[in-house]
Amino acid sequence: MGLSPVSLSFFIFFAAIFAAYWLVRGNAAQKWLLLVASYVFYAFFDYRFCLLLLATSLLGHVLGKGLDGATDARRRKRLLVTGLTANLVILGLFKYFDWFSRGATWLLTHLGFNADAFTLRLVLPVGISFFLFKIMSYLIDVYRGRMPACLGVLDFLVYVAFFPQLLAGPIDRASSFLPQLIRKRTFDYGLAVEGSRQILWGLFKKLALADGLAAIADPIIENHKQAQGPELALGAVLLSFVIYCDYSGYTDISIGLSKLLGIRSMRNFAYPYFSQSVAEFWRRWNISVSSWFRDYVYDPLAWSSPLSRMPFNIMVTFLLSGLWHGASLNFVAWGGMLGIGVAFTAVRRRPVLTAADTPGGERLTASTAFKMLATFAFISLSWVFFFSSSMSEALAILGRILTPPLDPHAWLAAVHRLGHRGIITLALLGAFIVVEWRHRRQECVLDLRVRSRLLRWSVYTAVCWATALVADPMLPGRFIYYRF
Amino acid sequence: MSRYLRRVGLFVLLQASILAILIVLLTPATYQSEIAAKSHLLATAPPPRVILVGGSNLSMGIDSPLLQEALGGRYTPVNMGLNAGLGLEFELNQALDGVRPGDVVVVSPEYETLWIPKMEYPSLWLTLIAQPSAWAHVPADRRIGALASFVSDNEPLAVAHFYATDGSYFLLGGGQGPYVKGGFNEFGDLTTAWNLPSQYVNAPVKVVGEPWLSVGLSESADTLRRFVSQCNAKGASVVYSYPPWAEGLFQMNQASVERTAQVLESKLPISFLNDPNSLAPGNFYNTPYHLRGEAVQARTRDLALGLRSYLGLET
Repeated sequence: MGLSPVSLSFFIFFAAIFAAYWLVRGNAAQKWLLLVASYVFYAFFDYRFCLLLLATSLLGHVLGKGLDGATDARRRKRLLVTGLTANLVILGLFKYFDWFSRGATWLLTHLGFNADAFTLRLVLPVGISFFLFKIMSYLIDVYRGRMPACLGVLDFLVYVAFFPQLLAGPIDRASSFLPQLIRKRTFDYGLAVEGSRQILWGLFKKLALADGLAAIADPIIENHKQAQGPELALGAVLLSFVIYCDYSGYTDISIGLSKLLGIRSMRNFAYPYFSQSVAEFWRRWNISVSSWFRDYVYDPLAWSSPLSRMPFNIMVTFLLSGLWHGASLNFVAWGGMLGIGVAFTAVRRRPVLTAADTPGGERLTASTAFKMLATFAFISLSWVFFFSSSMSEALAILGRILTPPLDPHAWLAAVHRLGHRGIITLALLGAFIVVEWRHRRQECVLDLRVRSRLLRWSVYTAVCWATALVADPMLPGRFIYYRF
Repeated sequence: MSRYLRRVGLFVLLQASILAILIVLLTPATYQSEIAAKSHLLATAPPPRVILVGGSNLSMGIDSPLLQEALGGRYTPVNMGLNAGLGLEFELNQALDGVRPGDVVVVSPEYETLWIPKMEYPSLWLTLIAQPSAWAHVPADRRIGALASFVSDNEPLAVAHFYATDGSYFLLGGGQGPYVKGGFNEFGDLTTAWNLPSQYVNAPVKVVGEPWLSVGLSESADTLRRFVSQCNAKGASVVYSYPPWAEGLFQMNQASVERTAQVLESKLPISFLNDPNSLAPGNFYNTPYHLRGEAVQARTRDLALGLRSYLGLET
């Protein structure tokens, strides 16, 4: 199952790379080291897919150089279309072929034709969407003239395969990543400390909160037929935090590791559950992916259509985003539900998919609290589609959540069933929300602005031991976004 | 760079020191620390003894004073049962060290330890912290795996989790529940869960199928046969007692249980004190092996009956 970034073996692997990286002389040697480390890391998951990673990277590099050198507009377009088609075909083959094949068979059968489903049953390479999206965004940016092509093949191979980002992002843009890679890096103490804190906070979010809350929420959703409305509502709320802590925990670790290697990654989460509208949520959630869809799907649609088609363009963007998450109707429904929420904001003439706003400037008033809670409730309900195994299951769960019994005993019983460890985890979640709110103007809440080292280290130690207390060491350490 | 490494090293050292303090303070009271008391009991209990070898089905499911009384006070029970996760070979090696002429060794491992012969490394590490010399009981072919697991299975996190949970007892309650050193009596029986309300949720699942069953069972039968020869060479006899198992699981895995009985009874030159099919449905505390309430005494009486018959004691 590969090297999980929350395992001791991964940190031993990283420590060896870190030591060698800062010991070797010269920028080129560092890059070679990163390249070899990234491919070795990927090989831990499935060595066969290293070839796919290499082939798609080389193709992207050749096409990028071609785009840079070509002056003829038609040739440039042809090169771009070739690059995008190749990447989308590979993605489609691994991720969507079987789904479409089964769908087409179902349709043909219902139209009276005799059809058998042809499925490839391919294993989905870990992180395939993330590295293919990197290549596609690079090609589009070069085509649009937003950045020059990357001339060094080594630089480009490292950009695509950079192991801290390889499994689940963030999808750093080549325009911000490559300059950092090309120039000489020297060890930056401040950046390394910042990265270490972010790793610690990421581990806490993943091991203590995401896994701890999943241990409570998963059985509720799995046994949804026996669960009552209040229990399912509690499960949906907890799952909202499971996915947030799981994915933002992963990206905190990823960004922290990059900082230790002297590279700044783009921010991927900006306290999304403090958003006051669905559109704002989308700007703060999984920023590297949501801005990818904004820049490369929504913007081209918006440029080529009148303003009145904005809701339609939003819906297309979100349905595609849903489909990107998974080849099933419930992911499409999830994207559609978020699209409706964002389109609603658009109709009210509020900013929609523009650049990320500065999070956390707001003060807590009754009005902002209400908007935050309403947005959170909407988002939590949308996650039901995300976590359910089918549309029918999602609709059944939603139906029961929205018609809860009024009996207060049912709520008490739901809390009682959490047990001792569940109560500790919920208490930690409560503390986590308060801490995130208080530090919402910072990228990482552990960037403590206090002079006393004793106090800072006490906080870090408390985070370590809270993680040890709640973490389930038997869990395999997989992240939800690996499968995308 | 050196400043950063110094700080990180210091921080790791600080956390390791906290863990070391927790280990030193809390280990004497842990369930696992009973292993040392059991080893001592095995070395010092007056002969002849009835040595019970298996996992926690024995530590939680036998009332040794009752067994002693039922055997007319002629045999001293030594309950070596601790944790099935340590694996069959570990359990047998541990007992073999202290077997003496005239001892009767009752082997009663959980079914999973026969079907899936492996060690649960988190259990092993916690046991080794309590008694480092127990490393000698780890089968030679599992030692490298055990060491590798320390890194690959996040064992330091497992250990820290265990001690953090244990340490949180005074602050937050909970802790390890009835699994404490103070819960054992002088024969090695854990008595604290006997009168606690049942938490067991019957969840029938098929534990293992072919070809794992055949492979695991054959390996376990060979291990047991070697153990029987070694005990016989020391002048001790060995008998087998099937453990009680929660009804739903038993039914789901009945074919495997019957196959197990068939293989063991054909391969082992020993007496079998009971029939796995004849065990009365038990009353379980938290797992399908941990008996509670009257079921402990019922099982003990059943075992005593078998032993009396085997030993030729008047009924």
